[in-house]
Amino acid sequence: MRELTYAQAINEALMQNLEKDERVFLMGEDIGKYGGIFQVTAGLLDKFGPERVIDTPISESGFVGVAIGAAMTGMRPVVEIMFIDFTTCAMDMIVNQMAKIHYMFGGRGKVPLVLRTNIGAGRGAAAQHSQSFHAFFVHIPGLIVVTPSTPYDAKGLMNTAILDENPVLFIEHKKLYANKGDVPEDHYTIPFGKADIKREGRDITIVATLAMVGRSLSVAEEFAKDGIEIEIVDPTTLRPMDKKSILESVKKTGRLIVADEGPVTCGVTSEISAMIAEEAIGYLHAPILRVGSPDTPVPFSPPLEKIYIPDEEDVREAVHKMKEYL
Amino acid sequence: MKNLEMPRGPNSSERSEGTKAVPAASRMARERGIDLSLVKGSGPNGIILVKDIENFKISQRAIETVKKKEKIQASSLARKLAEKKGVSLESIDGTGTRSRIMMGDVIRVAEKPAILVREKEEEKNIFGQTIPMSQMRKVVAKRMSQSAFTAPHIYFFTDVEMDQLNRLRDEMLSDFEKQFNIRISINDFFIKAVALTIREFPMLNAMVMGEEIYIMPEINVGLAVAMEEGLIVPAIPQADRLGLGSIAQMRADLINRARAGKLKLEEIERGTFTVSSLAQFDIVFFTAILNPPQSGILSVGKTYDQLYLKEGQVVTKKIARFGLSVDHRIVDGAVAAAFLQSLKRRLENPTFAFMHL
Repeated sequence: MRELTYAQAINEALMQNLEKDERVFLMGEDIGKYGGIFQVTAGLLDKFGPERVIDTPISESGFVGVAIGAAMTGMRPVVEIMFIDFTTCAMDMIVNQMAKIHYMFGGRGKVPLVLRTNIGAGRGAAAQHSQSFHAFFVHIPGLIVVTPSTPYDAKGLMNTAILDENPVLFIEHKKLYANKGDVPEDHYTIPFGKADIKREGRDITIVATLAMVGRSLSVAEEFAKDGIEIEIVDPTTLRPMDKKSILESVKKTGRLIVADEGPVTCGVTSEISAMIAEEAIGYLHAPILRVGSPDTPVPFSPPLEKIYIPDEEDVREAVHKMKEYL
Repeated sequence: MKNLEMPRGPNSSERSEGTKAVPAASRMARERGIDLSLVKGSGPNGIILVKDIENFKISQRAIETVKKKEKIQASSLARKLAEKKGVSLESIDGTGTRSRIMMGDVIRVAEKPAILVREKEEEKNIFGQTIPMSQMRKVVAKRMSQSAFTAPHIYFFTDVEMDQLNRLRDEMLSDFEKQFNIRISINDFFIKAVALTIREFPMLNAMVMGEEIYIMPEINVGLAVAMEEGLIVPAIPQADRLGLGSIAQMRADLINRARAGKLKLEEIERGTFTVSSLAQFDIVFFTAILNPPQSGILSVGKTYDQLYLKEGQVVTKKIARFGLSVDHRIVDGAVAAAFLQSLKRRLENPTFAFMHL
C-alpha cells in the first residue's frame, strides 16, 4: 500500500471531505497561505479557495465562536488551533458553548465541529507551545476526544470526526507528523470508542496514546527478545473510551502500564488506572504503573526537555519494574 | 518520566503485620480457601504473586494425596451408610477388629445430635488449627489490650475475714428468700459494700478523658460473668442506693440474661466499677485487668481456713484474699490502699455496714 506521513494523511482526509461535502470548510491561523504550522493544510487554499480555507486573525475565541455558529447553522467546520496551548484562549467557547449547546437546547441544536490541535514536547518550543493537556477535554462531558497514533488512524478518524454530529477535539501529536505509514487512498472511517490492539501479548498490557504508542511498540520489541510479550492497546478515542477492550486485555495479562504524554496528575493515565482499579482489581498481578510527564512546565533547555519527555527509556524502566512481578 | 513509585511489599520483619499479596493472588487465595500467611511470596520485598498461590496449591494437593493414602478401615456397609448420612468416617471410632468401623458405629454417631458430632470433631482436630474469633472474643480482646496498654495498672491485696459475713448470710438466708424470692449470694454483699465504699472514694468511680478526669454520676457496679465465648460485665445501677433485696434480684436477672445472650447494651455500658470473683475455683488470689474506661476492679479469691492464735489457742478463721487493680493515672497507691481497707472493714463488720440506717 501507498505510504503517507501522518500530516499528509490528515491533509488527504481534509481534501477528500472538502471535495465530497460543500458544507466542509477550514479555519485557523496560518492554515491557508502558509499551509499550517505543521503543513497539515498545505495546498488546500490553492485547491479550494479562500472561502473554504480561511486564514483567521490571532483570535482563538473569535474564530472558534464563528465556527460554532456555522456548525449550528448547518456547516461542517474544521478548525485548527495551532498549539493545544492556545485552546486556553477559547476555553469559554469550547467548554461552555461547543460542548453544551446540544444538551442545553434539548437536542434541537447541534455542533458538528472538528477542532484540530496538537500536543507534545520535543521541539524546543518551551512551556507555552509544548504542553499535553488534552485530558482537560476528556474531563468535559459533551466533547469527543480523538487521539490518532498512526497515519492510517489519523485519516480514518478524521473522516469519522467530520461525519459526526457532535463536537470533536481532534488531538494530533507534533512528533508524529513526519511518521510514515500505509494509508488507503479511498475514503474510509474508523469508529469512535473502539480501541485498537497495536500489538498482541500475554504478559503485560500497555495502554498507550499518541506518540506513546510508537515508543511502547519499540520497547515491546526489545522485551520480546527476552520472551516477554507486551500487548499494546491504543484507545484511539479517549472519549468515548473503549473500556471493554482495555478490561479484556488487563484481565488477560494481569499487568497494566498506562502511557500518555500528559502530566500523570489527574491525567489520562489516572483515569484509566482508576477504571481498572474499580472494575478489575482482582485481576491485577502487579501494581499499576503510569508513564507520563512530570508535574512541571515543559523546560526550554533541550537536555531538560529530553528528560521531561516520557520516552522509550521511561517505558523500558516501567517494564523492568513490572518484570519483577512476572 | 519517572512516576514509578512502587508500593513496597513487607520485609520479613514486617510480615506479621499482615501478609501482602498482589490483588489477583489475594483473590485466588480467597477463592481457593488458602491462608495467605502460609504462602511465601516471591515478588519484590516478598509480595505474594499469583504463581506463588499456584505453586502452593500444588503442594497442598500433594499433602491431600498423602492423606488419602492413609485409608480408614471401614466395612463397606459402614462406608455406604456414612456417605448416605453425611457422616465423616474420620469422626468415628471403630469397634470392629483393629478398630475397623462397622455399620453400628456409623449408626451410633449418625443418631447423635449434629452439634455433638461437630464438637467431637473439633475436639479431635483443634490443635494446629486456626480458628476464627467470635464477635464477643474480638471485643474482649480489643478492650483488654486497650486497657492493658493504656492504663498503667497497680495491684493491691488484702485478706478479709469472712466468718462474720458468712454468719450474717446464713442467718438471713431463709427470711431473705421468703421475702425476695431469691437466695442471697455472697456477691450481693460485695456489690453493696463496694458501692458504699466508692461513695468515700470517688476516684474509684472515675475515668480519664484526655487531660481531664470525669467522675461518673452514678455508682453502677458490674459483676463479671464468665461465658463460654468470653466475659461479659452487666452492671447493677446505683448499687449504693439499692437494698440487698433489689441487688440480689437484679444480679440474678442480669446473670441469667447474660448467659442467654439477652442483655441490653446499656446494661453493660453503664458500669463504673467491676467485681470479678473466682471464689468458686481453687484460686487464692489473682490480678484483674481494668474494664475500660473504669478506674478500679476488685478481684475475689476463694475463701479458705487460716490458723491464728486467739488467747493462746490455735483457732481457724475464714479468709478471702481481695485484690484491687486501679488505673494509676488517676488513682495513687495510698488512695487504693485506703479504699481496700475501708471495704475490708465493712465486710468484716457486716452488721453495721449493711444496716439500713
